[in-house]
Amino acid sequence: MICQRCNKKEATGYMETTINGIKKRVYVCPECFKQAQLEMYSSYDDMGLFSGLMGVPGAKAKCSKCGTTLREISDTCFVGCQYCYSEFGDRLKPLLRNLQSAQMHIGSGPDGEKSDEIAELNGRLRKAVEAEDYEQALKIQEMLKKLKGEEK
Amino acid sequence: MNENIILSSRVRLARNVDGLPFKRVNTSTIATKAMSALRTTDSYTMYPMTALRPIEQLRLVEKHLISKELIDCGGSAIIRSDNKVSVMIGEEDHIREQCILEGLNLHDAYAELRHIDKVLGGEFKFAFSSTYGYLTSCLTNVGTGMRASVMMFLPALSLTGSLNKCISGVTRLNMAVRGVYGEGSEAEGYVYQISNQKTLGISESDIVASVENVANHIVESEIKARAALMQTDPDGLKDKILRSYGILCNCHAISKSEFMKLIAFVKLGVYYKMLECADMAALESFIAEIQPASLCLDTGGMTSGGERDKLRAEKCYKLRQIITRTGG
Ligand SMILES: [Zn+2]
Ligand SMILES: [Zn+2]
Repeated sequence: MICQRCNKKEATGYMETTINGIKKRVYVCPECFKQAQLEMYSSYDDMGLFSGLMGVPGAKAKCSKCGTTLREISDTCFVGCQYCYSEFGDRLKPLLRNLQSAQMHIGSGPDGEKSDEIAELNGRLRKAVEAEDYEQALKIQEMLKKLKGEEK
Repeated sequence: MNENIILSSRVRLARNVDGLPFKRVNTSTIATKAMSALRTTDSYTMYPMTALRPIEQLRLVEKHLISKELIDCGGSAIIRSDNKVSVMIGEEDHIREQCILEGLNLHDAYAELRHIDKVLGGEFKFAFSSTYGYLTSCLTNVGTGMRASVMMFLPALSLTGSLNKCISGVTRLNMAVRGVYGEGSEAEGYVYQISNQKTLGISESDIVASVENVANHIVESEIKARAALMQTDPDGLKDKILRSYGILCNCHAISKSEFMKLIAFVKLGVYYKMLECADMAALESFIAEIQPASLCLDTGGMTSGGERDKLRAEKCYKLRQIITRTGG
């Protein structure tokens, strides 16, 4: 049987997922299994951080540049300065996921044409993933890596 | 007949100057720099809020050129002479660029703004990260910093009671709906604004496409509702429309809320071809002129509510020039 996630490799096991209350069995290859575990772990991790926010530790953390606390940001949705984004890093992600259901910028940037190209590739990448065309998605990811690598 | 339903399209981009804190920062130097960069491309006028009378500030809000927040923040507005492009300095973000065009025209509005954004991007380094995109004061704007909205006239959906269903459908698509005139949930004049909520993880062109898509769906529903409204009680509707026109053209004093209610029926009358309007844009700017601050400014200062109502009625006499009765 072929893996139902990547549709390429031989499936060696299965995972059970519940979508809208319906249990579904998905047959996967070892690599896709690992990937799925990682995704699950990172989503648990976010939840852990989020409950950490409620229970204050971390919420008192201050931006070293402007003094805004994580608690203030989560209460108001306002940051104090641009460095809040980098200082709080991953801890903003659960908030952003709630507000925007996304954690990464797709779209243009100040450097004109190259960022337009990146924006376009990102759009194509999303569509490829939606269409479950993982082969195409990988190709686009490679192109993105090259483009972004040149940036530095 | 879309122009009777989609009044205008607006795109706004939020930008911040790299290295400066978002709050408690003196933005007057940003304003001066932005002005000198913009004026090399076109004719612009700068309006520092501190230099304007409250009534002049409000008029800019009524014309949709600035936000109320800009007044509270004491920022500046840089407005292009055709009133289609305005740049707000020192609002929630250091810089907010916006473009408003008539009808459904988000593509052109965005194209126009990209040009403005390039000009300002040449003058300032914007706060940007490859992960989060354009860094903004509020997490609800980060990423593209882009809000695309359409202003829609939805009387039939409101009158037939199907607006709420429509709104909840739209909300599920990550769009926000709010009344444009009046405070609270009841939108005065049945004018609503539909805009994207998501700014992160979506490209600018996808935002434009999704808002346009939703707007087109709402237009379809409104057209259906207008047909249903006509079918239910044609005589009653025609009577209501012609009476509204009659009152507007023949009153001595009229409040803003009564005006907004009646003008909505007049606009519906144009749609049903019971009334004729040669220039819909002229009608919309007439409605803006009738708002309180604009009325006050025309008389050169503050006037009491009663005085304003008389003045408004006087202006309504002009409606005959914009709108006429069709035969039959
Ligand atoms: Zn696989
Ligand atoms: Zn900060």
